[in-house]
Amino acid sequence: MKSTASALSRRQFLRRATTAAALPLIVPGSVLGLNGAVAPSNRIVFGSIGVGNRARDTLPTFLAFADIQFLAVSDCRADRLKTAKEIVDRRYGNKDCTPYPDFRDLLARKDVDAVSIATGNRWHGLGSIYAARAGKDIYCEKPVSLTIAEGRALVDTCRRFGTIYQAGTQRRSTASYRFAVDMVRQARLGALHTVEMQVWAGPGIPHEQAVPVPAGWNYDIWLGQTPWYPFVPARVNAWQYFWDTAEGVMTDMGCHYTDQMQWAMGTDHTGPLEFEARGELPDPVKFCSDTPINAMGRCKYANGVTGVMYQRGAFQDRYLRFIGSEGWIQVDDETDLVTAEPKSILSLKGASTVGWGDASDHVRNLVNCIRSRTPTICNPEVAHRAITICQAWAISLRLGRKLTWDPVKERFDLEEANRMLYREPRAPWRV
Amino acid sequence: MMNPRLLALLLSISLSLGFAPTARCAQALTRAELANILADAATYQPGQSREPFRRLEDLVRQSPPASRKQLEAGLVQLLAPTSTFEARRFACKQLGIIGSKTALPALAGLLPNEETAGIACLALTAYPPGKADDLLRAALPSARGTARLQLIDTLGDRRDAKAVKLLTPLTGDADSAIARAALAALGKIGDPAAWKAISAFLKDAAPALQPALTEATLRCAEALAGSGDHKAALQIYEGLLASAQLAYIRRAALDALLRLDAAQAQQRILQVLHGSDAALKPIAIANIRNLPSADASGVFAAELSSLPSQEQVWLIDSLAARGDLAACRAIGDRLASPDLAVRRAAIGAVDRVGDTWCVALLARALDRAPGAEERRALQSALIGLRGGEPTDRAIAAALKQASGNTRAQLVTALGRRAGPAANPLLLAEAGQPDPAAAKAALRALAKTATDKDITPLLERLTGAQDAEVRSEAENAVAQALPRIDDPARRSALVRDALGWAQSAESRNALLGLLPACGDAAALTALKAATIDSDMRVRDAAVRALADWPDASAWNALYTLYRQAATESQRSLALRGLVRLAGEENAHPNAKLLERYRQLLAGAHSDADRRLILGALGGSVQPEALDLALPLLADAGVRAEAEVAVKKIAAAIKAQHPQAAQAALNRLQPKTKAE
Repeated sequence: MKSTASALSRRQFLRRATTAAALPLIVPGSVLGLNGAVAPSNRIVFGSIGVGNRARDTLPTFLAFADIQFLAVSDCRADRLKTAKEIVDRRYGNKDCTPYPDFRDLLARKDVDAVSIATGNRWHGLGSIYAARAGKDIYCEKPVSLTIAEGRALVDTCRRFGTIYQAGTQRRSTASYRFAVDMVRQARLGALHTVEMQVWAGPGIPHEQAVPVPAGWNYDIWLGQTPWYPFVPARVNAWQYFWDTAEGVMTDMGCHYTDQMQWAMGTDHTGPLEFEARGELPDPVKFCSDTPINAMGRCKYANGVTGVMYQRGAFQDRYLRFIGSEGWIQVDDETDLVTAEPKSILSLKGASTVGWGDASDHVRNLVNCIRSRTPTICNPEVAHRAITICQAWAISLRLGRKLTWDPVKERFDLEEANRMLYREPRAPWRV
Repeated sequence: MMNPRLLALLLSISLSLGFAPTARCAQALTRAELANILADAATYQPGQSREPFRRLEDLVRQSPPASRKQLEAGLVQLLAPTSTFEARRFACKQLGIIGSKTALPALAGLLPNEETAGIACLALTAYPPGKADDLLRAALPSARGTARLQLIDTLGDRRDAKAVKLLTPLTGDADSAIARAALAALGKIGDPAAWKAISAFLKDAAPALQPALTEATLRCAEALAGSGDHKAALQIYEGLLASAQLAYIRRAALDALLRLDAAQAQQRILQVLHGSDAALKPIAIANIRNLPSADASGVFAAELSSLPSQEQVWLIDSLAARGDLAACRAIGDRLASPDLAVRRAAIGAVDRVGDTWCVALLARALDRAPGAEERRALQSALIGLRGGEPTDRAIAAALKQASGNTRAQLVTALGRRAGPAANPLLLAEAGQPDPAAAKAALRALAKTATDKDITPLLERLTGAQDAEVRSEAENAVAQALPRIDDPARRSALVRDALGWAQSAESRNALLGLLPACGDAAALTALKAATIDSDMRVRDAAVRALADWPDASAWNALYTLYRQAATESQRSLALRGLVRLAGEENAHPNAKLLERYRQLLAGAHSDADRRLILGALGGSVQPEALDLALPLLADAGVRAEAEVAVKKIAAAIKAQHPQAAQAALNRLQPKTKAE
């Protein structure tokens, strides 16, 4: 006979579901924000620096806020600039958005209060430093810096100028991840001992020859601080997979998960003490890219907790898992599904359905902090410490050495590793 | 370009001094092999294999210091003008990791050239202080264009104090890019000599240089503060507070002053609050949270009511961060603010720092709250209050004074906070005449009720006059019943309640609970109810019977299917039968087939047959095809019959391939083509 303890009519189930709703873990930003008309004098004026693929994902989120107004966009590619201006003008029903091929001209505008930076990685840290110098508050995509020293310079510059800065590690504003972190902090998994993270296998980028810079590109600005190299389409289009312009998947995506690990551990102002990483690099005969295809990084905190990141498998297989002495909890990044053992943990989860793809709570946090001049949830120190973990792994992998790290002095025990903390930017770009 | 083979020969000769491949290298290389790698690397262009570079990177990674001299020598050779730019760039990057004094002359040779100054500095920046700085300084006077800029930047990034004399005159360079770079470098060096140079510039600087000058000034202030000269640093920041400065500079200066001069911070903040510089007020208020003085909360709490709404919101946040008694009382007072934004901020703050003392304030705020959103926020704050059991008791006490929505929300909060410990009070509330509070209590009990609460819950159900209250009671019992493992006990409780239930409505609700009990006695009670004198009770019994969890209800449902008093009862019975049959598909037998046959035989309409075909399609018995196939000829159910045939055929294909194919062949040609 079927268990009657679990057998309920559909009518009873539906009634139960509608009357037993739990309060949401997160109140959506739209509920707390200013959804009505906002006087122009009360709006925060934004400009967008870098309006390529990622910006097209995030720009709609910003444009939906009644108390944000975009008046300027900037990109070193004329085609993207044109498209971005059209998007903004269409939103406001006017032609007021000004395009700037050179972002410095955008930053020079006194009427722009803040910028959203969605350039390639090589410009995240340096672009933010320029913006802070110009007195702009910032939303910047991750990873927030190219090197550990650049990250520290970013933190120092933002403090120097009192900049309000939000890193685009928006999973801190996402219900599923917040829930997982809460469960760790409430010790519902027992004592945390391992954080497991997975990002996807990277590609090898086939060799290509240099070609003339296409019309409509300001290649000098595109390169930015990167050492000069000729225009090779493969290197430009797949910049994520070259050490000069990024640091591969483990850094580019991995920082989302190291950020969660840091948050759960309460180590936002410090970090692990040991790092080691190894990886499979692309075949240099076939490929010009130099960041790993597969890799594994391991780090250890002072309290013994181990972080492990795998770079392997398909894009949709990425996840973050916290493992404790009495259970585990996992967030599947592709589906936003949370699983756990014991399963009873999941009954504590609230009803929010907002996933990481909706960054509106994250942007709302920035807007509120711009007005109140208080630190955001992903402020520069937090973001810098999270990306430092990935950058330390990259250094360990490239040197083939296990490293010990002093998070106070921000130095390794190996001098060669310390020589990789910083890269001198190509003039005229300066930190 | 030199002949590659000749280059290889030269490299081989130059590496002839004591090269000894070590066990740590990935592969033991001869001098000639290394020379060949370097020769290939020297000619690298985009599009070619990167293997020479990879081999060299491997050597950098795997070679112990003892054998690095030769590797370094090879990398130095790659810096020759005869190498491609890509090769030289690569060499500079590797020398940045392992380069020693040996490589310095060659790197210095790249500095004057605009094309190579940048990559040379890439390597030189990584060197320890000393000789590398000497080379950079030596190259600066004669450098031009971007090479000059690069050298200035690198000297600044290396914090080379000896470069101050060289950099100082450059702050007046006609090329503003050079002047800005020099100012930036001096700011980074930031020692007393650098500050002297910068401060001499302060009065007469051209507008184009102001941003660089300001940044350099801020950096020097940081350096002075870091070295202990707080007085000088404070002087700089005070100067930057001047209203002539841009707002963000004034904010930055104030922030630094408040951090650096804690003793005066409270007074400064008060001055800002009372002053007219609006740009400074948020940062001033934000820093209240950091004030060390014990009386700070009281001082600023006293300012609250005189501040505009937005500033009150910010101050409430800062007070919440302080979290001491004076701060909490001030926050509590703001719950009564006439301003919505201030109330919201206070509610949010209470959520963070509130304790037992907040209960009465929150209860009064609930009474005043004009809208549902604010009431929800207040309820959430009540749930989140610290203080454990004393807070729970305070909420229970507040309940007794409250009514209407307020009482309901206090009930909800208590249920969420206290869990089963609150059940006695919740049960009492569930029996109150106030329907809002009663419903809230029953919703809470749905989650918290234990097995010993079920009889009182059943009493609430049978005694409820309000239909919504009764419905909540039914739901609460339905959720609580499964917490009793023994079906017979569940059944007994519900049947006992049926015995004392007075109204048809309450009896109907109880009948609806019997399927969750699921034992024979419960089934008997339902069957008896299907012939009750009250049609409403009969309808409810049939509805419940249709929800019965297993096939023990089949006969009773089938009887209704064939002889129901009303079409709606018949339809309900059929739905129940179809559901049961569908669930039994996982356990195929002859009896099940017979049941499908009976159902089809008793069908009154195409709607009936469609419903039955839906379940039949889940069968895994080949004989089920004999029931579905004839219905292909019936236009009214053809589509459903086709679906059923296809599904059954798919299910039996492995075991009965011929029967499956024969069935599929009976479908229309266009269907087979699909």
